[in-house]
Amino acid sequence: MNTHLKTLSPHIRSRDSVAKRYWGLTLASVPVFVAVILGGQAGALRVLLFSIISAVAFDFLGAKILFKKERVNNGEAVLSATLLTLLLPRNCPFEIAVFGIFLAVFVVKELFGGTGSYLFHPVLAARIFLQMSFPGFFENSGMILEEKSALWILGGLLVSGVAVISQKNNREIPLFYIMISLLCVLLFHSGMESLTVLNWIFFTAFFLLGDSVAMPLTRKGTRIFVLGAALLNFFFEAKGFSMAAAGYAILLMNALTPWLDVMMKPAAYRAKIHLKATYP
Amino acid sequence: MSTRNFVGIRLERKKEASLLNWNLKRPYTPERVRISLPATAYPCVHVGNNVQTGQKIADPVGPGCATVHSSMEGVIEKIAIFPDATGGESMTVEVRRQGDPKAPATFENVRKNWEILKEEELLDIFQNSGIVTTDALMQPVHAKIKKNEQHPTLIINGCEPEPYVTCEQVLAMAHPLEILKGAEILKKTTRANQILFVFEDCNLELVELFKSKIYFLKWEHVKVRTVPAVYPQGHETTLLQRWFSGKEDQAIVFPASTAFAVYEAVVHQKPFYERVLTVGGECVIEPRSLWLPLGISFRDAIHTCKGVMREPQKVIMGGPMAGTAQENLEVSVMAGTNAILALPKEVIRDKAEEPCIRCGACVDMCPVSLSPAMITLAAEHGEFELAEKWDVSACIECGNCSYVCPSKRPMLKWIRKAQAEMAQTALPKSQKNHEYAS
Ligand code: SF4
Ligand code: SF4
Repeated sequence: MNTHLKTLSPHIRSRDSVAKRYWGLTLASVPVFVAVILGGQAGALRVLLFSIISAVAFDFLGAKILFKKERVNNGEAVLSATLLTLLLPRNCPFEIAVFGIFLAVFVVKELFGGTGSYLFHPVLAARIFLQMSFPGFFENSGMILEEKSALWILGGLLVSGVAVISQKNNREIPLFYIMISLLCVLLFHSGMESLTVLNWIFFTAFFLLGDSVAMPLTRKGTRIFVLGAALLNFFFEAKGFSMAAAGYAILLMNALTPWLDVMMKPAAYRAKIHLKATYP
Repeated sequence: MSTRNFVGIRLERKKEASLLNWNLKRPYTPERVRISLPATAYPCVHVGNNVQTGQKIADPVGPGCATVHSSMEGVIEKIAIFPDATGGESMTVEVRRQGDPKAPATFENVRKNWEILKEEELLDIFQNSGIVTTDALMQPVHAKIKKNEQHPTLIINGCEPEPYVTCEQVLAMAHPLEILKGAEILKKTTRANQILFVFEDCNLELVELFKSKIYFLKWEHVKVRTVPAVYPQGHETTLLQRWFSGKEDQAIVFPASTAFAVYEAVVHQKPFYERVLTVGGECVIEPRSLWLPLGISFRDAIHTCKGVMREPQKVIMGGPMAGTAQENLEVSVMAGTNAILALPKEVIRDKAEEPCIRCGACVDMCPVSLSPAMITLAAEHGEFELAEKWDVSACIECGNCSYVCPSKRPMLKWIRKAQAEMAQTALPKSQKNHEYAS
């Protein structure tokens, strides 16, 4: 008797996968790196290299220490490394980069349950913690915020943006965030600073909000999340832009996410008729 | 009407292969058939009896069940419990053919005065011809209609949102008049004022065909409507949700092939013992829709379509989204079997499960607005009450959530588990496990 695979329906699956999403986002950050380097921050590559190596190492070891299945292949560690690098200054000593990665990949992500379970955006949380630990060194510094090469970076971000938006699954969130935030920027910032703020907004929209884990499930929930993040950002920055403030805006909304999930529970449709099968 | 009503996935339809063979053939009788009986039917034949095609083999116990008929001429070989294609087990009557394969029997005896039969007489005919709905639920038609209940609208569903499956389409194309007359008979018993024929918007030829027939018949109470060809629009629940949200008792839905079975039972006095189904999937040599007797084994069914060209990884009863995978080919066709699919590995794309990344795709794609990610999370931790707070019992098991999930979460496993748990706790103590006891 020949036996066939007996698993539950559905028997076909979409081509979407976690790895595809994370690697896609990582790939979309390449134009930003190109822009950063063309803008004169060649040191970026060194930081990136350290970050990626240590992120993969921590991810792998972390999973082993906690007796979990390692998921280096899904690209999450590399994505975290890439994003954290963009938030560090180009002359960042390698110990600090590695420490930041340790915070992001091991502490905020793995210790909080690993892929899919963490509450706060690992990269942002790590970056803010670094800023608290080394206050003088990190005040508003990060490759993405470099004023000298701001125009280059803006170009790179726009190219990345096209790549992100063309991936169908996360179109609404970045566009909505950009829309709201642009209004605030146009109203309250001017000159060179507005360019940096613009870069920050695009970076947040395309990359930081691309991490769905610490965001609500429903459309309504994500809209409120995005609205809240943008408005809080604006509120915290009333006295001028600061990366910590912008980060807190998102972390605060992260903290609200479990509550938003429950509040924004979709209203189920329940047909009044009862359909009952004849066979068990 | 909110846009939530139109949630659906545009799946690759893959229907062309089985549509290449348009004519509905009836193959010669197989060597044996195994006819599964519902739990409330009791066999009225004995091992060794001779039975004719269409002869009654099981009586209903109680009013909520219909008779069961032999689909082939032969000798009763066994009456025993066998696994059935729904994944459970049921009392089964095995009929073995005597001698050579024969051409299937025909029923050409037109019932006199069928047009003036009364409601009760029609319902009796339904029950005694063993007519059950030809969807996965297999409800006896007379029980679904219920005496003395009025449903102002009768919906005849000609949609097949599942990929590969073409049986309704082929049958409706071949027998539009019979289906219209069957609908008219159903209209009488449901006391409906109007009939809606529903097709998918990509089957324009069906829409035109039915419109022209209705025009010639001058039946003004019959209308044709379309729904977008996205999965699972065309499912009974989504049709009610689309047009009768909040007043579902105003309408009653029957598949087009059920209307055809009703027509044959009432007009030609033919009991319900065979159905049109699709044998398809990439592995089958000659995929097509054809008439097959109920109870024919999946092996014989695939064999009548020239067999498989390579070993399938999965054999499925029903469509690939909501069907049931079968371990072996000995299970048999039931009234609700609209397709037998043999699918190769590259179509199945089985992948390991990963943790949920809370992307929200499943929430976006649930046709009845549930939050499958939350339900799964609750059920996984054994919190079935919590799962019910998230409305797990409203799930129609369409499979959309698992389809879109990038993490390949086995949602339906947990959803069914939670539903089963809730059903157990909801029952009074004396009735627990009753379905297996009877
Ligand atoms: S929860 Fe149920 S109804 Fe909703 S998409 Fe999943 S299977 Fe379909
Ligand atoms: S689709 Fe899958 S990964 Fe996305 S929220 Fe639903 S369960 Fe989680």
